[in-house]
Amino acid sequence: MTRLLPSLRGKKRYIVFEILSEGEVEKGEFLKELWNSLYSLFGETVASSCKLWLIDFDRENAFEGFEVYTGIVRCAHKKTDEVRAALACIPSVGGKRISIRVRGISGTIKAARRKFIKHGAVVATRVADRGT
Amino acid sequence: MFSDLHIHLGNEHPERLVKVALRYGYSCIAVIEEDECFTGGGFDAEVGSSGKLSLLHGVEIRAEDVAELHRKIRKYRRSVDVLAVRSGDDSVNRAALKDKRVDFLAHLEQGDELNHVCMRYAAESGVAIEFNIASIIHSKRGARAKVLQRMSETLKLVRKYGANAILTSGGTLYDIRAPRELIAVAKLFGMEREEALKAVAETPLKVLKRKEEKDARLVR
Repeated sequence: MTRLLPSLRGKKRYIVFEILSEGEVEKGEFLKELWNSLYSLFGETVASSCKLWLIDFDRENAFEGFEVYTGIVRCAHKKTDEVRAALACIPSVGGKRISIRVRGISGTIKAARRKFIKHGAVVATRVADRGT
Repeated sequence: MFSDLHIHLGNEHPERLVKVALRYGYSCIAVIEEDECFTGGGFDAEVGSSGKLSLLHGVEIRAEDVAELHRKIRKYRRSVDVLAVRSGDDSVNRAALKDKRVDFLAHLEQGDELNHVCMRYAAESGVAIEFNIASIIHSKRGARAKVLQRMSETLKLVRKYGANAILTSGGTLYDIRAPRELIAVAKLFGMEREEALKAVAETPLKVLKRKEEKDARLVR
């Protein structure tokens, strides 16, 4: 299959977020919660136009007794507010209470990582498979 | 300068609340206790590094009738920085919104719906209407739809009468959200970006300032 030309692919934004959690958070469970949050807030039509994709999900050094996770989600460039609201509306993942904050939004993965992910802060290995 | 005027302590140490609030970019937070389990505060002593953040202490009053409301306002006003009244039936709401000693009306998703009369009082007295984000985050489906509906209807009146609106996270430690997230969630019930920004930055400070002015008057 021929790859779509870059100019024909939709514009994207990469949202870097951090999770403060009271316990361990699994990537798959988090993603499920994010989708659920998006569906329940905006319905399937808007959720589909968000073009959500999880790029990274890593663990960072603990902060004040919280487990800290950082991640990057890709979304359509005009849907950042919706995705931000969906992220903010996740009260818990797998029964563990969490608080999510968006660190920043960028137009490329490279810049997103450079600006908002601290190097050396990652304690666990990067999740190798991309998205789910 | 972002402020979150409604955070409950739960079973957490205030220090953790302060650390999270600083990380999220707040410069002022208020720890609110319910009047049934009011301890009198004294958090400042327990928190070491609150230099960059002003930690306020407040009470949320629940009243069945107007007499109880007035009694409780008198009881708590001098000992707290922030005085909130939980939305109840119409007469309580009206009395609270008329009363300049009150800082904001909390939990508008509960109790009777605020009408145009309430809102006119609020606009005159400067008592703020709180839009509580935790009530959106923790509700689902029908309940969430109802909360959002009430918020958007109240917002219409807030705009029309020019009352003060504030955005708060309104829950415990894990319900704290950064200012930008509050703004994004506020968009769900129709708040514009600028409006929402005002509701987390300027208006809370304005509301608190009223109290300082009042105190100054009392001293004289």
